[in-house]
Amino acid sequence: MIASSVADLHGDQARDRNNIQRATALDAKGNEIPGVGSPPGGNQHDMLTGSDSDGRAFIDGYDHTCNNWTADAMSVPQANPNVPADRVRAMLGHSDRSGGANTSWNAAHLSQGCTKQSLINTGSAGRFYCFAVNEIALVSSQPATRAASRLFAGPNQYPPTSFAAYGILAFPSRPTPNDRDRYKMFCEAYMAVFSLAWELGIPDSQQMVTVWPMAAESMADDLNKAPRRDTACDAAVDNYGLAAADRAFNDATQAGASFNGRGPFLLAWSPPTQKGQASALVLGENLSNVTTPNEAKIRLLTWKSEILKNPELWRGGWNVELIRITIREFVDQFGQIIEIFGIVR
Amino acid sequence: MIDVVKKLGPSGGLGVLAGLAMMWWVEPETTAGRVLLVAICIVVFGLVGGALAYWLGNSKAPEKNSEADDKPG
Repeated sequence: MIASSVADLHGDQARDRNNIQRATALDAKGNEIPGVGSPPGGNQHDMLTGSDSDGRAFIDGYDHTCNNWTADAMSVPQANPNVPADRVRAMLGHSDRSGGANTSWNAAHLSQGCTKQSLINTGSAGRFYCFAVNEIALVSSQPATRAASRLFAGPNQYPPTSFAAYGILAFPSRPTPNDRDRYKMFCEAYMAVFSLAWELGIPDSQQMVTVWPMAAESMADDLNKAPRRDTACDAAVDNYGLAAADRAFNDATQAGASFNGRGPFLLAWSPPTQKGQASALVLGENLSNVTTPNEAKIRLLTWKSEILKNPELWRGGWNVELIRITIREFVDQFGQIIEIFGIVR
Repeated sequence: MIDVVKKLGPSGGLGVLAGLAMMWWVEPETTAGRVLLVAICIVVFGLVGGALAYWLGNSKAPEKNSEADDKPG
């Protein structure tokens, strides 16, 4: 097997979880593909992929797919004869994951052009890839599959009802220059702990997704495309979606929760259609006392392991929190009677 | 404070400790709330301690009676 999921198959520039090697990347007849170390002129390890390392299309405006796989030249003429012809190229991967210090199978380097000779020049025979699924393994592994994931979501993308359950990392306010670093600390822990929903390669209905709300759908979509990007947290913090967070607080309040502290709060509902109803299963976690990046990461890891448990357990966890809140409200309310009698001032 | 705990007895002492633990967990927002919480714990532990003492006292009594019954007489 070359990978246990789509997420493991892709993204080999950021992490290395696939088993694509010269011995496993075979042609349609089961023969090994000549790669690095083959006799001169025999190297054919460059595969036409056209995608980035995460298996997604490039959005930089340049051609990476030989003009959507229609060009067989070095350039394509423009409609306006006064405009220079556009260069066409294709992104290539190394089937043996060797050569040129780049071991990615799907995004090693660009071709020189789209002619046969330009492909041969860098070690290609114009091969492309396909995968076979081990159906027995797929069927037997499905019942146990359940995973925690993350998703940046705009106001209209929250709640994400296609998921088995969902949670939200809710701050009670937008960041200010004074506490921006704290927001970024949680964002970085969030990105480190969870994989993006599409990276996992399993249906949404088998995922427990934790949402980072964003102010606009377009920003959320942009961040969801990149599994890891250095600037992602800057964008996520500066465009935090307070509207969705406020809605989450309101829903949780209706379910009996109260919120004290600077946050953030982790809130979860299962199933999503019951959100806001008194009977909804809700899990809550107050992260107000978290001060260090390591602590933030540990708390999110704990959250991740909790939400992967049987959702029935969530009710138990939430009941403990409800008991605490109920006792607090009781003693604070009836404590006023003591004050009236002047026992405590 | 120690004198107060002594006067409360072991059950009351446990109640104070439980009250402090509850105070840490529940985090009441008012001083009166904290005092009430500790007071409730002392009362609850006092009642439970009293009930236990009563029950233990009653369960020991028949043993004494049975010993007395064994004596010839």
